[in-house]
Amino acid sequence: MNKFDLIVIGGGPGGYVAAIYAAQHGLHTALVEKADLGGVCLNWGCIPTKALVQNAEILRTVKEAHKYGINLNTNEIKADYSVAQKRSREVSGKLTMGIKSLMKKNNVTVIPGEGSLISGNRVKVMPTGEIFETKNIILATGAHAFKIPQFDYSNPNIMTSREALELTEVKPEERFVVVGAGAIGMEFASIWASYGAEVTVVEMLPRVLPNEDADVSKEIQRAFKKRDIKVKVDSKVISVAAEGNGFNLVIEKKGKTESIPCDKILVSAGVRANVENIGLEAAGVKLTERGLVQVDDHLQTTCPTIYAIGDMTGKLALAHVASAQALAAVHAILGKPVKQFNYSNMPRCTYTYPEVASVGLTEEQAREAGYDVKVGTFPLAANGKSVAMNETTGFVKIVADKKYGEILGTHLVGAHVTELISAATAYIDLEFTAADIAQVVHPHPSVSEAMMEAAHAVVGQAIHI
Amino acid sequence: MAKLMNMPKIGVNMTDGTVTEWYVNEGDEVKFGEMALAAETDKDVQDIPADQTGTVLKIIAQVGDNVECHKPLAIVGAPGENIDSLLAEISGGGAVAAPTETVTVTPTQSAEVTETASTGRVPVSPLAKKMAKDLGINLAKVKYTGIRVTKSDILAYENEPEVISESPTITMPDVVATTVAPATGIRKITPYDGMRRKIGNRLTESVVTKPWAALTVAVDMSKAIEWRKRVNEIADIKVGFNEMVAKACSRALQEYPLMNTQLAADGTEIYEMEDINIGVAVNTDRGLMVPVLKNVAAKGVVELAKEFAGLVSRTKEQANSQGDLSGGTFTISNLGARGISSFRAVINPPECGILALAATIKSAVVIDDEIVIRPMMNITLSFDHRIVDGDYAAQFVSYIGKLLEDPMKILM
Repeated sequence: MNKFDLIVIGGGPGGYVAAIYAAQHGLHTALVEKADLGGVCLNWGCIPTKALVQNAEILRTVKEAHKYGINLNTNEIKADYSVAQKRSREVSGKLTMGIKSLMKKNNVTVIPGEGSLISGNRVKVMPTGEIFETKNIILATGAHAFKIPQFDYSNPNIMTSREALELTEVKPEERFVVVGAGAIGMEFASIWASYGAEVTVVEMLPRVLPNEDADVSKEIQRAFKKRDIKVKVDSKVISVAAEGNGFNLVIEKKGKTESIPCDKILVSAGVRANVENIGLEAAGVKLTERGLVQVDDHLQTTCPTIYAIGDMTGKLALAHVASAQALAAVHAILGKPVKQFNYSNMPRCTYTYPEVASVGLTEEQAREAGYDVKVGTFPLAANGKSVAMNETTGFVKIVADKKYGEILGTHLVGAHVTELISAATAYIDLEFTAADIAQVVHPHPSVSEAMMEAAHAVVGQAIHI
Repeated sequence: MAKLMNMPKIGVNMTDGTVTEWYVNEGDEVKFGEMALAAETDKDVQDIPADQTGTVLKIIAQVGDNVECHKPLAIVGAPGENIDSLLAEISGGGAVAAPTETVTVTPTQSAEVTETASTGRVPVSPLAKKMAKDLGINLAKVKYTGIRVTKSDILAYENEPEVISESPTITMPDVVATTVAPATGIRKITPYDGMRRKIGNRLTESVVTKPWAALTVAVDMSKAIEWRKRVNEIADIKVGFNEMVAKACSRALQEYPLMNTQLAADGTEIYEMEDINIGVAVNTDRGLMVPVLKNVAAKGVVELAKEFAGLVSRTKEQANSQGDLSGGTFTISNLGARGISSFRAVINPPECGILALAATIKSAVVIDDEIVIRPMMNITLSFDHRIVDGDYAAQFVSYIGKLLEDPMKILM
């Protein structure tokens, strides 16, 4: 029987990072994965959607080329969505291969199959039924899309994000309804709208991207409306019925019902932890009331030899959070000090057009937490680089505490602002105050200047507005 | 073979250094003569060169640790080399002199760092720095996890100020915390740092570590005044009382060598110093400075006067050359010009004594059963009672008095 120091179950951005890091630190490590390495992130989430986002951006640019004096015959622009989809699969495939070679390079034994716990030290892998012994286990089985019961998912035109990534055709004026205005739903809405589809987003809560700052939601809602994406907030799905080749979706908004005829429906209503059939009970790993794996600050489960990371811990279903937890869990196993996470200070990105990126508390959360809030905002319309790029939608909003200028949160809307949030995250992590950010010289011309200006606005007054 | 990289003696009077920053990490290469760290020495924070070439295998002296010259800072050798025997040697020999030393040889084992060094920079986040300043917290006392003091450390400290652990040697409080009630109103806040803090640290060290006593003698300065007048008639530079008293002290220190001593930092030895170097406290824009007259016993008062004039102007212009402000073995402090009738000065560590010169005041004194008027000066010796007894110190200070009352004796 093969004996390991560590077996990681699940090869997503949590699991494979844990395996590499553990192997690098001298642990004899195995990784059990039932499908492709890289998990949802690489195969059915973050990465393939970004490939589609890129296609959508190119298409938008080409369609708007005439504004810049580049005249194309608009009738001749043919956007083939199947090529975009194919490219997204190729990108995933390429990166998955990369993970495979990383496993090899770091001497991680990859065991294909479905892993489940037999005890705190034994893992069974199906379909072979082989049993492996190990000193420690890291669970990283991830999550899956939550399927709202009202919908019939056997119908190929009713999709979760997984099926949406297999969609090979988006016809102009095809009618899409996206149920759930979280990051995933909003990204698909943005992509399909760029390909000429008629998209309606339905959200139960009063605003899109409900986890973001209210000003962010407002700005994105406005931007979507400009792009002819219909947004129905405060709206609940009442029923869905097949009608002709498509559906009639009935929603209720403030007591009034409204029917939305459509061809395709994406249900993006959050994710649920993958905790079934992995032997949690056998090993004494307990769940929380919300059906998530219960972990302590060291990511240790109720079984002392087993740790859990990523979406299944329900802290924040983001790939980089899973990867950060992976390092922490390995540290804990190695007996090294573990850095305490402040999950609110993890960066969050949404790749709509325009993009959204944020870190820390929203203004509302900050006020609720009792801070004496001071907000500094700077619109991209007053930022030179943004004007030159003709990308003036959006802003930088810094939420700070008045007393010391402590940065509580930073919220960005605008083209490619996801690349800017790392700086904002570092500022919070390093405990920069608004005055410190304002003193950092930011390069001109750059969108990042808006961050410095927003910091100035917190301290006193922005320069360029 | 792995070797110890020691604190080099880079100045004549350098005895030790407090590590303020490492420029290299474990695993980095160092080259002989290349700057490897910064340390606060008798003069200032200085770059310290490596005295070995190789890979840094272990950093022994952490930031904040005080290390004597020729005592180990780090272990240098070839990567992967076994350093157990060297580590054992160090831990057995008590090589690191810092009194607050708790974990030295295995710092990587614990993420929790107790920062209790009285001097040296404390790594701190900008927010935590602001909070500490606002809340009147001395950062040096804040315990931190991770690489520097953060907001959570400040909050934790605020809730439960850490009592500095008592080590066998006396731990020196850098700042004795006095909380100012906001209701009293603060008109102006000045950071307690730089020169002010340096002076404060030294004085605190002196008062806290030295069991001291003071002895006062009233000196009839008639002849000294006359003598000075005569000297100034023939000399090409004006000779002051300070130089005269310095000269008298050097003569007395030759007679009473136990006053020209220092107690070793570890408290196990008393060093009798070769030269008699007398520091004279000088007031400058930046605060109290003590330029040092070197080898006073071998020089005449005119030479001393010339030297002193140069020292004072360099000190005031902040243009001191090496050694100007260090190496003293005894100090005099003169507040006579301010009309002070008598005072006790705080001993300038690590010296054994300091002589306080008060104003020369015409006073009624009884000589041969008659009341006469004489220019009298009170001189007060503060001395380290660990090194000398009261009687010895009394002999010393009264001898200085006698020398000043009859300056001819200085030459004898």
